[in-house]
Amino acid sequence: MSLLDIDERLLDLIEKVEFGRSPINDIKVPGACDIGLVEGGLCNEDNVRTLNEFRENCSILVAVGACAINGGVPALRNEIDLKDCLETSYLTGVGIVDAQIPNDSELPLLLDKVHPIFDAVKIDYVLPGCPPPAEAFLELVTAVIEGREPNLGYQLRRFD
Amino acid sequence: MRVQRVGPYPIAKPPPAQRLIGSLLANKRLPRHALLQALGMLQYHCGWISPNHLSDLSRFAKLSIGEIKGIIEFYHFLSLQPPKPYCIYLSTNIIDRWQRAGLDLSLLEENENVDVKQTSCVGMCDQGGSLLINGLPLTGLTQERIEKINDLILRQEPLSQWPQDWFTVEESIHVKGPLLTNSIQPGDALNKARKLGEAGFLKILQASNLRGRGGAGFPTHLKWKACIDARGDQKYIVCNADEGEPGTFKDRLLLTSYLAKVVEGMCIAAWMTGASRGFIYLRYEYIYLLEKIQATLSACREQGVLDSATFDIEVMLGAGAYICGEESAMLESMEGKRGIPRIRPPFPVTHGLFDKPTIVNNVETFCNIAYLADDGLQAFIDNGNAGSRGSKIHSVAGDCERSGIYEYPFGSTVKEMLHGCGGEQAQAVQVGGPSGKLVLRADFDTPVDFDHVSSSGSFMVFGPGRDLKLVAQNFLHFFKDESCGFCTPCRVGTQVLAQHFDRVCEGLESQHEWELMNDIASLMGQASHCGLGHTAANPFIDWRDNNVTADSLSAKPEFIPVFDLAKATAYSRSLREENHDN
Ligand SMILES: Cc1cc2nc3c(=O)[nH]c(=O)nc-3n(C[C@H](O)[C@H](O)[C@H](O)COP(=O)(O)O)c2cc1C
Ligand code: SF4
Repeated sequence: MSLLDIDERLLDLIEKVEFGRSPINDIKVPGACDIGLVEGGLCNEDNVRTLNEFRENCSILVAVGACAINGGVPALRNEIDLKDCLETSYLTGVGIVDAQIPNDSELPLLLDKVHPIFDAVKIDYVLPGCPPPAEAFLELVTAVIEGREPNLGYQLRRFD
Repeated sequence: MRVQRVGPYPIAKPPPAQRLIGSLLANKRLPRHALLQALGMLQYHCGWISPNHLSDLSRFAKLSIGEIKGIIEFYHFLSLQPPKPYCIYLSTNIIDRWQRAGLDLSLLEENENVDVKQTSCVGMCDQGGSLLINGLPLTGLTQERIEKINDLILRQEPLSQWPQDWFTVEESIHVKGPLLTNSIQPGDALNKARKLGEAGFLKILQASNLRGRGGAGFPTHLKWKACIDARGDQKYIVCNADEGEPGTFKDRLLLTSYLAKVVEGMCIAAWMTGASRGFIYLRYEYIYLLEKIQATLSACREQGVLDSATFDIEVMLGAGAYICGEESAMLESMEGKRGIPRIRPPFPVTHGLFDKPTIVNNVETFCNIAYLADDGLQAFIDNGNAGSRGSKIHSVAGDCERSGIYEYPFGSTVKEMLHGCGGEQAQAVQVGGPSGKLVLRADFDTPVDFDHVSSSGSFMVFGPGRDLKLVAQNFLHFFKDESCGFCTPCRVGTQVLAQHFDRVCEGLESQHEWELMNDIASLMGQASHCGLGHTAANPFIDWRDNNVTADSLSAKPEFIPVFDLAKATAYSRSLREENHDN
């Protein structure tokens, strides 16, 4: 979503690109596509399937943001047993009413550990940051359209 | 500190912290720099740092409990968990693993009375299968002995009642050179140096081109000159006895049998620089030597070599951290802090211990100083070659007939050394430990010296049947375990290399992972904060350069996921089924 931080420049961009599956248009199944921007780490089986679909359909796949690249905050659970994690979240934690672990077979199964996305598919580019700066998105997409290597200056890669 | 055999834990009535660390207190205050020493003593005597002791320390040292815990967690041998009656450490070094290969230790692992933990090399590669129990080395393991140990542990027999010969560490010297044969009358080396005068001895030191024996090979005369020239009301001499490089045990021998020489070397340094205090930073794994070292220091005082009015030496203990062999990390550790390497420059010679000019040298370097002063320049430079004068003491272990200590002139070839130890069959030798170099059979004519393959003293022999891939894997895991975690290239890089090299060992890695490992390895070499990170990729690089070709690489799949979806969801599937059943 932080792509939207490019503000009015979105209008220029729309002239050049078409949005496939995205939170903006709610298309569920991606079709053939030039650039796939993927945010978030892999937490459950659904994430893995979606990511594989992206890889099959996108010529260039980009890991966007800290969680996709490193696992990020969700990966803090990697040191904790999954069972303990679920029990604390749904049974014993503070302020829980009607305590029960969600157990519907419709719900995707959780992975035992949260993985960064390049643990599952080949990634072509990364956009670091939490979230990455709007300029970084713009530079990456523009470079791909213009057929050159993106050039993220130092300011777009430092976060302290 | 008395090094009695302690155990079983908990000792009958844990004495209050005061009793155990009284000698470190000044007016009921624990000076900051004594904190790590206090922790080491409590750990040794009680098997852990209990909450009571923690709050005592916090009060004495006027530091928060959190800060003290931060220090405890940095060092492998300090623990906040209540101990079982016994605690065993097994070395993960590849040579030690091989030595234990035929032994079944599951008895001990299942014994409720003992914690069996792992640690990096404990410096006993020449002693057969060995382990540390409640801090002390127990050598010459056999299956029979393991069964006896197990019985004693089951009965909770006090360690002091165990057969004492189990705790002997043999002195396995096979080849003596000038350093190990020369015997100095107490005080002679120092007196001879004094006769030459400061400037005179410095000239000799320069002409000898003595270079540090701890690994980096820095010319000793330059280091000393810088410290002599540095301004400071107080200067210090520190002997680096951390000996952490896996496969090295030559400092152990020098500390056991040649300490008087080391002391004289330190005295010469003190006289030259005007330092009034010296320290030996002893690795925790060698705590069993502490009493003997202190006795030798007392003897030196009686003989007048050490004179508390001008220069005296104390022992400081480490607490289990390979990085504390790096000199600036060691100084931090001696100041009672986490052993994180300092930013250099400034170097210790101008800003060292407590920010004062400090000389840090390896144990063997100080020995060489004493030898040089005693036997003179000509005798010294008769050994070795132009770039590397003198002799080097090697710790030889692995697949050879006679593992132990060998002193050879610099420039001796790997082949000559293999011949000496009965390791002619070897397919390769790791010279200088994991951060050193793997020398293959085709290159056995390579001389071991500063210009060819340089060594901190470790010489591990790998016989024809050994899988060198597993050796590299073992070394990469060593660096992963020992990275201090301060800088990202090394903290993350050592993890990434170990993790992906595990997959290389399974034959499961992709081209993509090779790219990743190559990038990380060169990044670590360039961007790490200290020498550990700079060399931690060496085992990977050596293995790659010896084994990987463009063809073998292109035969690999382009990409393979590192986890399997079915396996990764198996646990949550089982939890779900459990829940459905309820
Ligand atoms: C990771 C690392 C570990 C080291 N470990 C040791 C050690 O165990 N013993 C030692 O004498 N030097 C060790 N060194 C080298 C010291 O930093 C330092 O160069 C040496 O003690 C200087 O003494 P020398 O000039 O007499 O060799 C280590 C260096 C690094 C980077
Ligand atoms: S290179 Fe490794 S050991 Fe050295 S400071 Fe960085 S993290 Fe610590």
